[in-house]
Amino acid sequence: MAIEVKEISFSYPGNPVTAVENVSMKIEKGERVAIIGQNGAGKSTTVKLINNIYKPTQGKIFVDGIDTSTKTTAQIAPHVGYVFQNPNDQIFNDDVIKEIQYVLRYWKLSEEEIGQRTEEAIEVTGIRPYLETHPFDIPLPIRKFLTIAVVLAVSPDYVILDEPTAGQDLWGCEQLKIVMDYLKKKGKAVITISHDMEYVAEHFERVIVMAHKNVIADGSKEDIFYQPDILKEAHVTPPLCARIGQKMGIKKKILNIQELVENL
Amino acid sequence: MTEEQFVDSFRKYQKKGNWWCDFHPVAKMVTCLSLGFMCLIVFRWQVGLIIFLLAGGIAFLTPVWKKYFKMIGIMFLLGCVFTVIVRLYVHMGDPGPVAFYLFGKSVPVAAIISCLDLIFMIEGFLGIFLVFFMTTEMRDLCCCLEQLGMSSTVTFMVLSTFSSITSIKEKLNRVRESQRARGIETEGNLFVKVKSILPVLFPVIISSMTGIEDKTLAMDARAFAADGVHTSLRKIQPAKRSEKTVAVVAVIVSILGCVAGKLFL
Amino acid sequence: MSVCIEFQDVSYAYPLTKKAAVRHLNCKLEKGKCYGVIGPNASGKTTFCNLMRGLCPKFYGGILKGNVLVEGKNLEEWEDGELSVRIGYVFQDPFAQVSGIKETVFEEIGMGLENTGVEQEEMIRRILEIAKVVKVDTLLQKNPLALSGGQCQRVAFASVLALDSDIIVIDEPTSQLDPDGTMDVFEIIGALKRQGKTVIIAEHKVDLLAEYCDEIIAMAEGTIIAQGTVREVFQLQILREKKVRIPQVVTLALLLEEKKKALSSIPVSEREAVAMLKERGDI
Repeated sequence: MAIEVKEISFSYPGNPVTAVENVSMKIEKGERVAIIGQNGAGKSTTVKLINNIYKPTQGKIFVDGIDTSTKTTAQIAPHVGYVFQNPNDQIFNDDVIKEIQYVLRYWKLSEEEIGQRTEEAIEVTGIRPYLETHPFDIPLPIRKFLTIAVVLAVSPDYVILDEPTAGQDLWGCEQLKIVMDYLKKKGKAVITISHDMEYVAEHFERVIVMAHKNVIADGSKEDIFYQPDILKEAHVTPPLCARIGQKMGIKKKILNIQELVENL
Repeated sequence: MTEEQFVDSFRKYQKKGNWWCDFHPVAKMVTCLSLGFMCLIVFRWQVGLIIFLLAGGIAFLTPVWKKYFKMIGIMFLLGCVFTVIVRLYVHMGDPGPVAFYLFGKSVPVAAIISCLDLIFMIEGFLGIFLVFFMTTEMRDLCCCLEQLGMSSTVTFMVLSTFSSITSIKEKLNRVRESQRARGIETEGNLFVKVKSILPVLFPVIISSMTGIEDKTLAMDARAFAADGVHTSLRKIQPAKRSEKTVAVVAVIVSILGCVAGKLFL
Repeated sequence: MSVCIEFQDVSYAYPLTKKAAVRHLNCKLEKGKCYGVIGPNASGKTTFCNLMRGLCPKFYGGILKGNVLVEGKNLEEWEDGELSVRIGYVFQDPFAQVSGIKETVFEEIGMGLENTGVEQEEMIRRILEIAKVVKVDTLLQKNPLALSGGQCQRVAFASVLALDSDIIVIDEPTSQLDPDGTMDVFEIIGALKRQGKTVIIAEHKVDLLAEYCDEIIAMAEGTIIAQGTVREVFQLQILREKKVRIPQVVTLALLLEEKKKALSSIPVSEREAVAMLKERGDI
C-alpha cells in the first residue's frame, strides 16, 4: 500500500510554464514525509496532483494501486485528505459540527458512525470550546484546526498538511503534536509541506527536498539536514540545533535540543 | 516596456490610440447615458434600432469590436427568445389585424410591433451601455468625476464593487477545489454541478463581504481619510471642445428625441 | 529619548463581548526604537496594535478606558486623516491589503500619496525611492493581484512607507510567508530602524525579533506581563509559565544552566550563542 508518483509533469491550464517536471516519489502507508523547499519549487502543485485536484500532463500517480487519472478528485478523497494552507478556502458551512459532518452525511454514513467520528475529531483537535462559534468568527489559527478535524473525520490513509504551523502559538504547536501522535497511532501516512524546520525535525523521519520544479534530494532527516549544499540550493536553513552542532564541530547528527545540550 | 518608458508614460496624458477609447470619460458617459435613456423613455423600435446600430457602428471602430459583437450577439439572441416567447404567448389570439397564424392561433401585427419595441428598447440600451463600459477605464472615469466634485468614498465604492466581482469568482473556484478534495463530486452533469455549487455560493459571498472590512482598514492605512484635495498619478486630458460639443448635442438630441418620439411614434 | 506612544491604564472591550480584550495596559514607547510584541494567540497583541493606531475604538466601536497618548496628545484629539499619515500600519494578510483598484504596483504604491495630495513629479520620485528600499523595483509594472504572498507583503510595506510615517505598526507580517519572504520583511524593518523610525511589530517568530528588536513587550491573557530589553525579557520565568514562545537560543542557554553548563550570559542570537560556546572552550 503506497502512493506512487511516476515521472509526472504538470503545467497549469492557460500557462505554458511547467509547475513540476518529471517528479517521482513513493510514499508508503504509515510513513511521515516532509516536503521542503522555497515557494515556487513545486511542492503545493505536487501534493495537489497526489490529491487528484489536478491531473498530471505527463506521468502517472497511483494511490494504493489505483491510477488517479481514471478517477475524479472526489473518488480519491476518501484515500487522501488535504488540509489547505488557508482554512478560509476550505470552510463553507455556518456551523462547526455541520462543517465536520458535511462529507460524512454526503456519504450517508450511519448516525452512530458520524457521531463517533465527529467526537473523535473534535477531541483530537481541541476545538471543543468553539463548537458554538460561527466558523468565520473563530480565530484563524484555530480555524486551521477545524479544517484538520474535517479531514480526521474522513479518516483517509494519507493526510496532507499544508503549512500546519504557520501563525500557530505554543498552544497550537502542542495541539498539533497531539494530532500527529493520533495519526501515528492510527497508522496514517502524513505528508506535510512546511517552512518550519523545527516542526519537520520533530515529527518527520523522511524529508524530500524540492527545487526548480523537481526533487533534488530524498532521505532521512539526519541525512538531509546535514547536507549544506542541497539545503542552500533549495533556500532552506536547517534547524538551529543542526546549525549550532555543526558550528561547534560535533560529529553526531543532532536534531533536537536535549541531545545538543548533552553533547555540549 | 522599460521601467523608464513605463514611468514616463505617467507624465503624459493616458492614451490608447483610438478616438473613442480616448474620448473624455465624462463626456462619453454623458453621451451614452443620454442616448441610452432616450431609448428607454421613447420605447419604440425605430429609436431603439437607431441607437443599436449606432452603438454597433462605434464598437466597430474600436479594438474591442470582436468582444463587443460576441457579447451583444448573445444578449440579442437571449433578448429575442425571451421577449418573443413572453409577448407572443400573452398576445396570441388577441383581436386586431393578423400577421400570421401559429399553432392555429392568430398572431396580431400589434403583438409583433410590441415585441420589436421591447427588443430594441433593451438591446439599444444594452448596446450603448456596453460600448461605453468596454472602452472606458473605470478608474479614469472615477478620477474625472472626483475632479468634478464627486466624493472619493463613492469612487472607492464603485471601483471596489467592480473588483469584488472578480474576487468572488476566484474565491468560488478555490472553494470548489477544496470541495472536490473533500470528496464532494463537482464534476459531471449539470445536476451534480448545481447541487454542489448551491451550498457554497452564499457563504462565499458572505465571506467576501467580510473581506470588505480588511479592505477598508487597508485603505485607511493609505491615508484615505486624509483631508484636502486628492491628486492623481494618471493624467487624463481635459475634455476637448469637440468632445464637449458631442456630449451637449447628444443631450439635446435625446431630449428632442424623447419629446418627438412620444408625440409622433 | 522622547516618548512617542504612551498607554495609561488602558482597558478595552470589543462590542458585543463581555470579556475585555486587554486590561490595564501601562507602557511607554520611545522614539526611534524597535519594539517586538510577543505572546500567544488571543493574548491581545493585535488589539494593542489597533489601540495605538486608533482603530479601537474608532473603527471597531467598543469601550475604551484609560488614555492612549500619541506624541503627548490623546488619541481622541487626533484627526483620523492626520493619524493615518503619522502612524503607518501593515497587516497580517498580505492579500487583503492590496486595494484591488489599481492595475500596477507602481500605482498601488502611489495611492497613499494621491490621497494626501502630493504633486505628480514628487509622487513618482517617492514611489521609485521606496520601491528600491523594499526591493519591489522589478515589480512596478505588474498587477498587484498577480503577486505572490511575499511580494504582496513587500508592496503593502511600500504603500505604507510611501507616506513616510514616523511610527510603523506591523501586525504579524510574516505568518503567511516563506523564509525568503520573512527575511525580506525583517530586512525592511532593519532599514526602517536605520532611518530612525519607531517600529512596533507583533510576531510569533521570536528568534528574529530577538535579533532585530531593541525591546520586547510580552503579553498574555490581555495584559502586559513584561517589558524590557531582549535579554531581560526572554529569560523571565513568567514567559514560560504563560506559554509565551521564547527564542531557541535562550531555551538552549536555560537548559545548559540546568545541567550546570551555564554560558557567561543569555545569548539572543545564534551568533552570540556560538561565540559564547566557543569562548567557553567546549568540545
